[in-house]
Amino acid sequence: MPKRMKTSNKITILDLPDKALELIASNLSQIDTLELQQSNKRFRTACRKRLYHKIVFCEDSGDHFLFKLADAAKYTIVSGKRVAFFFLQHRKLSTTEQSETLDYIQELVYYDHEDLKDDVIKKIMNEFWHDVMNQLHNLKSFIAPRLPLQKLRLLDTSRITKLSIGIHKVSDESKNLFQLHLPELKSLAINFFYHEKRDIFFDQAALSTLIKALINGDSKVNTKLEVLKINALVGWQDEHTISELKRQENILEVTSLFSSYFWGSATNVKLSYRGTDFKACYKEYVSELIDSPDSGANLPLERIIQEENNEIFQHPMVATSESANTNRDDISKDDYPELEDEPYMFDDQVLDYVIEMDRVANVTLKTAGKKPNYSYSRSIHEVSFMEILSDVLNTLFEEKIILPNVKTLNFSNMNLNAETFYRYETPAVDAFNFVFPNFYETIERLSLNDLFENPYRKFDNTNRAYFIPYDSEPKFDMKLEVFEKTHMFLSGLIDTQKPFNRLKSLKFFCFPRKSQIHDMDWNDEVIDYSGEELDNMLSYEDMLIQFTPQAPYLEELNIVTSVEFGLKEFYKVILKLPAKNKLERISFISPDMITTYLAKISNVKVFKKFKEYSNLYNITNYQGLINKILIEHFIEAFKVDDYEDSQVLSFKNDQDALFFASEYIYLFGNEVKEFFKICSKLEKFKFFGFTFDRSSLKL
Amino acid sequence: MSEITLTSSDNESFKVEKKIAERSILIKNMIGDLAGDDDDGFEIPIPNVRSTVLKKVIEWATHHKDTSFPDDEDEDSRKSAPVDEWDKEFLKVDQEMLYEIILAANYLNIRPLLDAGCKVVAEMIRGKSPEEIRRTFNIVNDFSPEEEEAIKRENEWAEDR
Repeated sequence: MPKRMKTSNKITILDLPDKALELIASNLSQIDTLELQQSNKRFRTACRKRLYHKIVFCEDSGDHFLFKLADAAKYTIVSGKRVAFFFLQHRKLSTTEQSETLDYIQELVYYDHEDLKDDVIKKIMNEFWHDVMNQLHNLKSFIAPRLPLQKLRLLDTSRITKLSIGIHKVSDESKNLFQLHLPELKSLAINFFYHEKRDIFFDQAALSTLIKALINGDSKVNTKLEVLKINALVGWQDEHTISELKRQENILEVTSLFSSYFWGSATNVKLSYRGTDFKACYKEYVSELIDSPDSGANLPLERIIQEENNEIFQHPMVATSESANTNRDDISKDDYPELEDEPYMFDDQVLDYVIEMDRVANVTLKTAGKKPNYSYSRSIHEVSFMEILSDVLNTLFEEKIILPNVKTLNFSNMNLNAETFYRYETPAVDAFNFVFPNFYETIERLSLNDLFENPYRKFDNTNRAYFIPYDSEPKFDMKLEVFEKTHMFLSGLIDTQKPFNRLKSLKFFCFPRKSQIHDMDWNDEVIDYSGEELDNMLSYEDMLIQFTPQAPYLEELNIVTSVEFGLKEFYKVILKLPAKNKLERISFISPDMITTYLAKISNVKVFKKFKEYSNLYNITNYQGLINKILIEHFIEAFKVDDYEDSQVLSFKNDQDALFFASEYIYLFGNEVKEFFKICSKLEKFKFFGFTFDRSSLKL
Repeated sequence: MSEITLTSSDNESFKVEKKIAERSILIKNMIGDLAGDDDDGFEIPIPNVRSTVLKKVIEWATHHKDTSFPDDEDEDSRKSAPVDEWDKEFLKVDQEMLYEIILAANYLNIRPLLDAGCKVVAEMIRGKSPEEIRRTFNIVNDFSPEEEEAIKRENEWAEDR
């Protein structure tokens, strides 16, 4: 009897059928799969299938978010030099058994671009790319938003149902010339990727090749495609968020305690930072830090955080989907003072001291030319000078391709200028209506993700007045009809009258916010609008209020908003929303408020430590670590790009989020609770990266 | 027809509401193919499942008779859905019973029960070394030292975590 066989009549795990073992392995993490595979030969095939089923390559082995996603979605992540090793090992598989392993690969994800930092990995990947890709006979999903279309050249695409690929120029122009067939395609993401080394990032030939692949045989009516995503500037905004928040981490490290009080307790404080006496206070603060390190230098802060984390997981403060028995009252009253408008008020003397310190901190920051407030990048819109959407629509229209079954439509990171919608012979709106003839009847998920439109004056049909830009020589013919359309959504692309009877999910993240409406005069000076003039300008806050009633069956609403449009304003919108009793999930974040909320949460967390530490040095260090964790949390909470399987994490609190559970509940629980009261089916409200469950709030 | 009779491998019979029995796709198809409209008490032999196990499966199906589960095709939703609390309690049984429930769920084609059972087993594997896995499941190491080395080499590309 072989050793693996059972030794008695009892049924053991080894007696389970292959299908069950594969299911077990598919629920394991990567490392657990490797361990199981080494325990007994019976698990070999099941574990191999699990390991090879879905593979994600990434150069950066420190990508926290991606590793988290891999764990949650149960795919195999291959990072750093192991990417090169994979290609070397699999370039020529000699035995049948070995080559079978590549047949297990059904999904490949590759988020990096071609110009990898590591030359060795780059060289090996370039050399063996086609050798390996040629052997993938069962590939169904290929997600590579930053790789150019030309990488598909020798790949068998006949089974591919899901594709995300880049449309940008490659050095060898002749590589554009190939025919692509995607007969089974259900989901397509077209990505435009800006690379600083290349001036031009848009490749019309590649776009045409991809669009032509949607023609199946002789039919130009593609009924298979259900998902279409167009991203005009993949990765750019997330990179900006990371660098901005990391920069903030450095700033907070210098001034954490004081600046945190400042930024966490007010949103629009404009103090004049003059006077020299504050410097004395600042010196005092710094000297205390310098004088007292011995008493706390060796404090194992990481261990404290780890212990806090463990405690949270043993006794969770909020219900997760796994444990639903806790509520707000679980927070010890001793931990916090009574909730007031501003949670942390000290006696006047302390408060004065803190304010003075904050002012000093801000003088320091100003002098150094740093702004501690995270601001959403405007430069993205300067880079994305083409709005891209009309290029894609025009290419589809020229090929006379009709997509009647598209149920999910995502537009990301692009400019939508009404005038550029008219630069082709057929205006973009007409091309749109041709390509998506049943748009209002079929669309189920719509994502308007980081869209920017020039500010227009609300169109007045009575006197036909419209906004004329200061630029007297516009690049495109400024027709009146262009501006007549500006009262409609997305430069007239979407009719504001027609209802969406199947729309279940909407992401709304659009510009300009009211605070961003401005123009440039002849001398490139910024002209801001205010008062009645500002009210006459069309902002996306207005659009959200106009647009949401068109979707009476919404189940999921993701809002990315501005500082002017806070939770209270959003509550008023929801109150009037026809879909309020259908909504199951809401997500709300405002990038403008990240700094403030980061500081608020940090303050609450640190406040508890005032009881434990009298030493300023320890508290400052503790806050430094808390801020680091918070910054990672907010970087992830504000991911703009579409990551494969990110829905697995989208309304789930992970370890990082749970670490701040009691602070979130303390600070925002009462306000969030009101949404659950007015939306009878609401189960989850994700607020600045933390998900409140209905069951976790005492209603 | 409102009720059917299921007979286990050891000849014990269970009268079950049709809706409950139809949690099993195998039984549902059999009823669809073989039973008439007024065929009350239609009997289906379940030769691969012992009475104690069949009883457990019926208990599960009764509890979940109105539950809506993710589509079989929706692999991602099925995989990401946590095992619900009732199922966790229900599956707190000895290992042999757990495997028998999995085998029965597989045979009877009850996908949500099969998923839940396999997730519970996966949970038992989590964080364990090969040796600890062997001890937990009472299985032997059937690799030679050379084979052990070979498998480690083969997996080197995936040892990222």
